[in-house]
Formats: sequence, structure tokens, C-alpha cells
Amino acid sequence: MTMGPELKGYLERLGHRLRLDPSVRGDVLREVYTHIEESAQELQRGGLPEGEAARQATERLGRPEALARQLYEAHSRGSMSTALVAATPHLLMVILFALTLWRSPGGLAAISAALLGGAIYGWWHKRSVWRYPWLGYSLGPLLFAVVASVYITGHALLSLMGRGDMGPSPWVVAVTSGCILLSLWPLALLAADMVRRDWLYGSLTVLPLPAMACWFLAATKGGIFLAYDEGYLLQLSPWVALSFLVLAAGVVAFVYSGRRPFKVGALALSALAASLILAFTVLDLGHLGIAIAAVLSVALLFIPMLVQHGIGHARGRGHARG
Amino acid sequence: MRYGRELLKGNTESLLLSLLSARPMYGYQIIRELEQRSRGYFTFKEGTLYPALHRLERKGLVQGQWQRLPSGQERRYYHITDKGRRALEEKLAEWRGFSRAVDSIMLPDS
Repeated sequence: MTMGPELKGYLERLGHRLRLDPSVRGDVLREVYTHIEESAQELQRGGLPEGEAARQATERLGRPEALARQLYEAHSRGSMSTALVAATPHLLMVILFALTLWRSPGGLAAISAALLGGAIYGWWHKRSVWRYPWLGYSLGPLLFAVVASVYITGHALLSLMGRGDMGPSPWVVAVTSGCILLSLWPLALLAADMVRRDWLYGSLTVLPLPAMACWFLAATKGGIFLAYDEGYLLQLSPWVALSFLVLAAGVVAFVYSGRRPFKVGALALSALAASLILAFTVLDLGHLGIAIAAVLSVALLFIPMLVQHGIGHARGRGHARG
Repeated sequence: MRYGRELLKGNTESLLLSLLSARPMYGYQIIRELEQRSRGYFTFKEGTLYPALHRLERKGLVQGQWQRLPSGQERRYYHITDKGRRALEEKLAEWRGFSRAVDSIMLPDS
């Protein structure tokens, strides 16, 4: 059977909406193709012309959008054990802040090593969903660099205006540059993975970044970067722990739910709740500041979608030119 | 027929496991087999078959494998796993209990 426009169009529409791992997607499309092929051949044996047979065969399968949605639900719902593994990095952060382990170099090193180990181990499990929250913490250095860059720029401006000191110390500049370089690798890998798969996994990855940024910002109190006011940070620690607990609950709901709108809702709600907790406590913002923080933390989740669409459009233009 | 469709919806996984316990089959073959064995009572909505098969595969109850037919065409055959056979036994036991209970109320003289 030749692949007529009816069959080609159906498979294209199905493939476009099938947000699954590329290898699974290929297998599903091949299976659906063989189904339509056999169904159409049977109809042709009954006397229908080839085009009409293909049309009726695709019609029997239903709308490709509905089939894609059902297949997505069948593949995207994770088990409770997968959900718990996915939530573990956030739970490690809960332990770090609830038990104030960040005060002890040993505790901090143990949690950091666990997060790094999980991210590296997860990187090799390409088809697993649980790895994305772990990979999110490998973007921590980039976030640190961004906060430090804001601090450096602020100081430089103040110096130019003759109102500040001589600017940041060389170690802050060196650490910032190192962090940016370190994070380019996971960032590039993450972007490539997102384009191949589903932007929603990018959202799952960036979910903890606002909470981490809040902690860095809390440590710049009084305009001094990484100012260490232990009493102040101890007061904030339970709230930061609570915000990570909310994120862990959001991740469990995300993985355990099969429906895409529920997944988006779980991430958005947990990001919103965590940002409100942090905005009220750690950042001590006014009403406008709280609203902005809440909007930004939810908006961050949709940046991967824009990135994926942007790259997809650029690729489309490239193919059209080629 | 609507009642039959509802029954099919609630028992899709049991019916699929039951069919596959006899021999491995591919999607289109399953639809035809189900229609023939139920003498046309069950007509599967074709679009719902593959999500159901993939759910079973994700649960480890069946395993899909590409095989080439003598005609040269390829088909994805589903084989029931040991876990799938155990799940089927449980479902059959449940079904027998349910069926006996319904019969004893709806067909008391039989």
C-alpha cells in the first residue's frame, strides 16, 4: 500500500501531538501505520478504491488528537515509586533546611554530593522522568552566577557613580565565571533534550530555581553578597524547608498524574504556593512585590515551552529553505 | 449494545489479557478476534485499543515485539508475561465471584 495524502496527513497530525520519547514515538507511529495499512487492505478487498479505503481506515481509529492524548496518558503516568524518586532531590533540600544541615560543612557536602550523584546517574537514564528534578539542581551554579552577576553589576554601577566601594572582590568574579562555565553543559544538554521530547520536562527541571534564588538573595542581606547572618538565616530555614516540601508534593502529583492539564496544574500550583511562602517570609516583600514574585515563578515554568517552540520554528524555516 | 459497550470499557484489560493468554497477537488481529469470539457483541473502538495495550505494557503485563509476517509486512505482536498471567488469574477469580453474585440475584431460578 502506498502512503497517500490521507494516511500521511493522519500520521503527521498524530506525530505532531505525540509528546513522547522519540524512540517510543517512532514505534507508536509505525504500529498505527501497520494498523491502517491492514484495515485499508481489508476494505479494498471489499471493493473500495485505495484512497477511500485509507480514509475510512483512518476514520475508524478516531481523531489523531484524541488518539495522541490517550497514548500520552498511557505512557506518561508514572508509578508511585517513580514519583517518590523524582521528589527525592526536593526532599533532600527539605532535610537540608529543616535540620539546618547547611550550617555544617559535612551536611552541606553530603546533600550536595547526593544531588550531584543523582543528576549524573539520571543523565544516563534518558527515558526516565524522575531524572528531571535531579537535573534541575545541576543548574544551581548557573543561578548562583546570575545572582552574583546582578550583585557585581550593581557594585560596578555604584563605583562608576562614585558612591560605592571599589567593586566586587576577585574571588566573587572568579567563582561566578566558573559557575557560568560549569552550568553551560547541563543547560545545553537540557535544551537539546527538551526539543527532542517535551517542554514540560524543562518546567519540571526549572521548578526549584526560584526557591534556590530566594535562598541566595536571603544571603545578600544589606547589599553584601553571601553575607552570613546565621541568626537571620536560621529564622528563615523552616520556611525554605516548607517551600521545598510543597515542590516535592507538586512533583509527586506531576509524575503520578497521566493527564497533561493536571501535570501543568500540579507544577503551576506548587510553584505558586512555594513562591508565596518565600515572598511572605524570606523576601519580606510588599503586596506588589509578592504579586510579581508569584507571577515570575509561574512564568518561569513556561519559558521551556517558548524555547521549544522557538527552536521548532527555526528548524521549520531551515527545512523550508533546505 | 450500549450496555455491552460499558461492560467492554470496564473490562478492556481483562479481555485483552485473556485473548493474549491463548496466543500472541497484534492490534488489528485482536480487534477482529474479539468481534468473532463475541459474535459481534463487542466492537472495539479502534482508537482505544492501542492506549489500552500500551498501558498493559507499561505495567509489565504484556510485552510488544516486532515480527515479520510471511508477506514481508511487519506487525507488533503482544505476548502476555508471567506477571500478566498472574494478574489475569486474579481478574478471573474476581469475575467468577461477581458473575455468581449477579446470577444469584438476577437469575435466581437458573
